[in-house]
Amino acid sequence: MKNQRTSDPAEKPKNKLNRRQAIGKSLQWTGMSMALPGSVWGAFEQQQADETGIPFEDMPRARENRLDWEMLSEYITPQDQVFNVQHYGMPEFDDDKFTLSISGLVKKPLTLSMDQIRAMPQHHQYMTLECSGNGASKGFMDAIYNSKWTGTHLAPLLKKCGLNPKATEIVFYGKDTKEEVLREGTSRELKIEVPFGRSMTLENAMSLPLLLAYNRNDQPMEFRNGAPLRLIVPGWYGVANVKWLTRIELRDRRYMGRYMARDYVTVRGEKTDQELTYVETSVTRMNLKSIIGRVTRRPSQNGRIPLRAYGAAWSDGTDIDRVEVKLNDGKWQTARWDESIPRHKYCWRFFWIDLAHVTPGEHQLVSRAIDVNERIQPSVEDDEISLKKTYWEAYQQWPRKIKLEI
Amino acid sequence: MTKLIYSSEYQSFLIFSFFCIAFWIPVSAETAQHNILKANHEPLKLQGRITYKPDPQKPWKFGRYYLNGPEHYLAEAVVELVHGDDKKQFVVDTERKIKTHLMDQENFMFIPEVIAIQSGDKVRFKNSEEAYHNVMCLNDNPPFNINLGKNQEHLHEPKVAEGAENPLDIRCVFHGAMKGWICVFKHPYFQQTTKSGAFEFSEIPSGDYQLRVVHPAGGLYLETEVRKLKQSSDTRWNIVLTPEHLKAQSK
Repeated sequence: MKNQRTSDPAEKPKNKLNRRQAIGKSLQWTGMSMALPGSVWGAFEQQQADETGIPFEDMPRARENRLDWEMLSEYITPQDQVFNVQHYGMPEFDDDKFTLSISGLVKKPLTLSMDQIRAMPQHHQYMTLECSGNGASKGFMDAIYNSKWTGTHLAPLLKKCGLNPKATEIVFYGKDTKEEVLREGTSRELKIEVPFGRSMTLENAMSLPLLLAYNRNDQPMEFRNGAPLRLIVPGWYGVANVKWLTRIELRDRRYMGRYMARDYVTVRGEKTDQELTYVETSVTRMNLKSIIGRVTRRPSQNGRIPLRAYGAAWSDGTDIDRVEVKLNDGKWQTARWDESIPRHKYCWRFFWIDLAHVTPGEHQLVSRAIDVNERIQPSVEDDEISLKKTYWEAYQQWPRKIKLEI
Repeated sequence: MTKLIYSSEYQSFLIFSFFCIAFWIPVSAETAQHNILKANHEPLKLQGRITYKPDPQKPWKFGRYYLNGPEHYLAEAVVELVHGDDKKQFVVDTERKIKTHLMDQENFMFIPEVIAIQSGDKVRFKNSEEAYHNVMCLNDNPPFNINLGKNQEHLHEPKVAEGAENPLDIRCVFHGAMKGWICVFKHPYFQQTTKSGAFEFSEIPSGDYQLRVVHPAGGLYLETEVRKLKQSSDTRWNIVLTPEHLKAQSK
């Protein structure tokens, strides 16, 4: 692993800020400076002073609290670009009385206050968190962010409680609740008030560095992001990272709450021996994915325009071998990793590539990630995407359109 | 006497007197009214430009959509003229023609993002693309929530008219990044800035006024000081917004 850094972002040398500012001044968007604030681990140091951003065609404008791909310049996402999704609304509770309990198939159930949790050994987890629906449409391309989470590991706490050997499933409940209606409109209709819950096998829980997090980027986590306590599940989609975490329960059978068994269920056709079978699976681990974040140009030379593309790639923690980029109907070309930023197992990596000098007009660019197991990010025509009938796990290649003038 | 009354001379005198009275009264009344307006309320034109001065250390990320030229002229802002005296109200033409404004849905955006209308006007929401969209507004009274398939439309007359201070938030429940705003005014003195940040009010009576400027998409809001506007005074009113005027974004 080249250039791996484990230092705290706050320790970044001061001269870095000046360089970022200098780049920010030079990188123009229709005459405007790009937002490249003084930052930690600023990305794309290879940007040149004469590069100009090219807006993507037919894309909606960036919004507050969403990642701004065209302005991507930070390895750690600024808070004003962090999305939040909640299915049962924002809960109301007294912060001072907030507790976390661990119960069910444990020998010694435990209830902890936030002060007690904060007093436990502190750990950091760098992680890219993506909504599983991110990429389903061009109106939902920006629900992803990268963070440094701080909290305490779950595994030692479970050990302290003493696991009953019968426990196979671990369920995480948030403070947020809602009345769910089952079998609506039938004679067997049932209305029940339930907390938001997600689960995983105990084996999964013990093999991942699950974190009970209270800080994001060395700052207290925002309430909308799950404060005071959020479960962090590295390599899993956002929905697994339960907000306002208040109860952990060990069970000996599968938990079948709405967001495990009814929603966040991917329905996909699978071909076996000429037959197509539809299979329903719960949304859990993140998929291999990449996207071009922005494209820049330089002054034209003999009527042709030099193009450069920047982007990001991420996965469930499986090493990504390379990213390839294709311009129009050309060949796939291998992009270069941005080695100026650190590498963390569960975080995105940034890439960039110099493309051909092109003529004015419309062009299309697309990227694909390939992992160390030679798994290739599929296109929208590939079976695993084209036979998918639900919008979660939207990890298909995403072509970008640009229009160039001389 | 009888002869006099019915003589042709006297008849001519009566006819002449009638016409004099019939024409003199309205003419003199109009002249008097005109004189009053001229003295106190002679209509004037107010022009101005809105610019935004970003923090050089942290350029405004939405600037690429709304700021134009090296002067950073602010487009798509809504400017409202407000009486300096809270008790004064603008006279509203109750006979005016009701307008219908279009707010389309295309490329996962409301187009235009912001519209400014007068109370009583209607808004035609339309979905012009394949994607299934929705139009939801929780701060109108009553709130509304309508699903729109391709080429479907919905006509709505907003009821809450709180001007630049409280635009109606328009959302699509299926696509959280789709945001639009409708500024509804109880009077006709509002404008949307052009690409060059320009606005212009015409036919406003002399008096004390302030301006409210809102840029809902960019999260900007400003209320100016009160100024005395009269025909002889400078009727250009340029406004500079800064990051200090960034308020919390609408939901």
